[in-house]
Amino acid sequence: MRMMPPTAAVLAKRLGVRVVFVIGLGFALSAAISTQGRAEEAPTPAGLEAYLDSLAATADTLVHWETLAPAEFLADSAWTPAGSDSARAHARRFDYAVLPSAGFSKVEGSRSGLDASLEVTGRPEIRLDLGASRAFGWKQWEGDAGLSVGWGGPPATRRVRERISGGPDPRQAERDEPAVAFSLAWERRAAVFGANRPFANSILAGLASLDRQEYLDRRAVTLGLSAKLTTITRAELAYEVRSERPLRAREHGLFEWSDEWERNAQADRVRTRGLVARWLWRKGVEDAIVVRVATHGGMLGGERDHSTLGFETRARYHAPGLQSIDLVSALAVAGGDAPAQERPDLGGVSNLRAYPTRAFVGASSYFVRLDIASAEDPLRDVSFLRWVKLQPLAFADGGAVWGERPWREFRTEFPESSDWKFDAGVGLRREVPLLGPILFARVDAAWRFDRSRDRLTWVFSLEP
Amino acid sequence: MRTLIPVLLICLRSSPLLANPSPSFVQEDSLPLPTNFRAEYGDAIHIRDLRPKLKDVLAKCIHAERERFSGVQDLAYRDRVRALVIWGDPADTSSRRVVNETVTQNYFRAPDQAWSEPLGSREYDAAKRETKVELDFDTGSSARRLSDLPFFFEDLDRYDFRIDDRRVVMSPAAHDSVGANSGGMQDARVLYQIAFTPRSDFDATPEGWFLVDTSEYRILHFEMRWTDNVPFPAFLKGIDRVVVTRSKHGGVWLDDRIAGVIRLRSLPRFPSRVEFDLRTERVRVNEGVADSLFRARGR
Repeated sequence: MRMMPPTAAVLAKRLGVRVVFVIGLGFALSAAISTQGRAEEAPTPAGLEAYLDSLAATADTLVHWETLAPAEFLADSAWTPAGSDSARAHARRFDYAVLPSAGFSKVEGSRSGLDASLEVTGRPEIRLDLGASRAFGWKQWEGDAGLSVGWGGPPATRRVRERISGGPDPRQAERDEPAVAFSLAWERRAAVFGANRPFANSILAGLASLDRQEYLDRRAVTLGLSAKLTTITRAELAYEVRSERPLRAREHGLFEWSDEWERNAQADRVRTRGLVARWLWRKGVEDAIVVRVATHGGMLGGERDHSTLGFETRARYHAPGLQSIDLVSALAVAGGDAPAQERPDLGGVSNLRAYPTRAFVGASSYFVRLDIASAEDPLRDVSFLRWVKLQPLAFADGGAVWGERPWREFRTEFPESSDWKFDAGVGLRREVPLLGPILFARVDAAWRFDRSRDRLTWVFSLEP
Repeated sequence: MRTLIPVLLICLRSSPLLANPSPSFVQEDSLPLPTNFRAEYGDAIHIRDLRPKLKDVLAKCIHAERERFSGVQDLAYRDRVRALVIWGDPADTSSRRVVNETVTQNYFRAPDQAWSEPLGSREYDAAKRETKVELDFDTGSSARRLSDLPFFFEDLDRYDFRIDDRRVVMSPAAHDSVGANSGGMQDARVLYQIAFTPRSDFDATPEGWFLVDTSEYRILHFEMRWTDNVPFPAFLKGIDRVVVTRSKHGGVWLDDRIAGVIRLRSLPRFPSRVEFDLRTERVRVNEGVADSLFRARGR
C-alpha cells in the first residue's frame, strides 16, 4: 500500500478549497436571489443621483400641471417676475382687514359683529384692532379696541413661510412676536366668571362657557408693556382700570345636569385699579409655567384693596399605548378685600370635575389634574363604526381650598386633611371638526371620593 | 492561497448566518473590513455585525439634521409655487381650474436673519379664460434659525419608526467594476428607508417614510400622507401624498421640491382638489447677502 497522508492532505486541502468555494458560491447566489427586502425585488439604479432622480420623478405624476396649465404657463416655464425691489420693500406699508365675527353664550345669546385691524409695518410696528358686536340675548353692544406698538420682531401678519425645514414650525409664531411691545386696550364684554384667574382656568372657562352659569359685565382699560425675554419666555406688566358687575346667571343653562348650581357665590360689583404682572414660560402649547401677581387698590385707587397670586404648571408626557398624559397643577392665593370673583375656588370642569362649579371658595386653593388619553380607538376594527372615533379617557383630580376669608396678613398655612377633595373618572372625547378654538367635545362620568350620597356626576365639556 | 481571500470575503459578507444579506457585494460601513486586511486559509476571522440599529440611525440622523446648516453663513434661494385648484376630475381637461404660480426670493443670514420678497404671481381662471399677473411688493422678515428638524423628529414620541428597506446604491463606475476591483466600491452608499406611523389613532399626523444616506446620515427624500385623521376634517377629505425631494447645494442638503395633492370635501361651489408643487431654484450658499436687506429693520 502506498502511503496516503501527504497526498491525502493535499487532496483534502484541495477538496476543502473546493468545498469552501462551492459554499461561498452558494451563499453568494443565495444572497443574490434572496427575496428579503425590497432592495432585492427591484433593481437598484446605478448611482445615487440616478436613484434620487427616479424617486423625484414620482412628484411629476402628482401634479397635473402639464395637462391643466394654459399654454402661456407652459411656454414660459421659468417665468421670473421682477416685482419687488428692496428700496420699496423697506418703505412703510399699510394693511387692513375687516372680518365678520360671531359667538354664543348662555347669557348673551347669539352675538354677531365685525372685527377690523389696521397694521403699519416698518419700525416700530403699529397695530390697531377694533371689534364691535351686538348680543341679541343680552341686548347690549359690546366691543374692544387695542393699539399696540412693537419693536424687534416682524408683525403678526408677515409670517415667512417655513420652507427650508420641510414643514411648518409650530414655534415660529412665538419667535415672531415682537421683542418689546406697548399696548393700550379698552373692552366692554360679558366676561365669563373666573376669567381673571390663571390662564388655564380662563381659557377653559371661556371655551367651556356652555357649562358656566355666571357672567360679568366688564369694562376695562389696560395699559401694558410686554417683553420677550427669551424665545420661549415672556414677561408682561399692565395697569388696569376695571369695573365689573354681575350679570343675571342663567337658572337653567344648557347641559345643566346638576341641581347644585344654586350654591355658587355671586360676583361682586366692583370698581378697581391695579397692576398685574405675568411671567410666562411656554414650550409649544402643552408645556407651560405661568406666574401671575396682581395688586389692586391702595395708592393705585379703586374701591377695594386686594392682591392675588397665581402659579400654574402644565406638562404633557407620552407613553406607549397612550396619546398623552396631561398634568396641570395650580396654586391661587387671595389677600385683602378681594371680590368674590377673584377668590380662589375649586369645583367644575377646569379642576375638580365631579364637584359643582365653585363648590369650595376660600383664601387659597391648590389642585392637580391628571388626564390620560388613550391612543387606541376601540372601534377601529369595526368597519362601519370607524368614523365615530371616540377616544377613551381617564382622569383624576385632587385639590384643596383652605382659609375662610382672604388673608389679611402674611402667614404660612397649609390645608388640613379634611380640606382635600379627590375625584376620578372615565370619559369619551371626540374631535369637533369645526374651525375655531374648540377642538373636542367630551363627556365624563366623574366619581367623587367623599361621603356624599350621590357621588356620580356627568360632565359635558368643550376643550381647546 | 491568496486567491481564496476574495471568495472568503464574498462568503463572509453575503452569508445570512454571519451577516444580513446584502443586495450587492460592496463594502459598507455596517460591516467594515480594514484596507490592509490579510488572511490565510484556515485563519479564523472574527467579525461582528456593525450594521446600525434603528435607534442608532435615528439618533445619528437627528444629530446630522440639527447640524445641517452649521456651515451656512448666508443663503439665497427662490421659491416657485405652482398650485392647481380643480373642480371635478383632474383627468378631464375641461374641468374648471384655477392655475396659480408665485415666485418669491428669499435670503437668510446666520444666525437668525431671514428676508422674504415675493416677486410676483400669475393666475389663470379657466372659468374666465383670462390670465392675471400681479407684481408684488409684499415683504417680510423673520427671526429664524436654519436648524429646524423635520416634523417627525420634532415629535418623536408621536411616531413609531421601523426600517422598511435597506438599499445599496453604487456609482456607475463602481457598478461596472464590482467584483473585480474593490476600489470602485468606495463610492457605494447604503440607504435606509425608514417608515413612520402615528402612534395614536386620533392624532391628525401623517404617516410616511424617509430615506437616509448612512454615509452622512442625511435625509435625502421623504414622503407622507394623511389618511384616517386629517387636519380640519370639515373641509379636508384627505392628503393623499406629499413628496419632498432634497438635493445638495454647496454642500448643504436642501428641500428641492415639495409636491402634493389635497382632496377637499364636497361642498357647494368648493373645489374638489388642490395640487401644489413648490420648487427651490437659484440656490446660492455662502456667496454673500447684501447688508441693506436687513438694515431697514435694524436686525
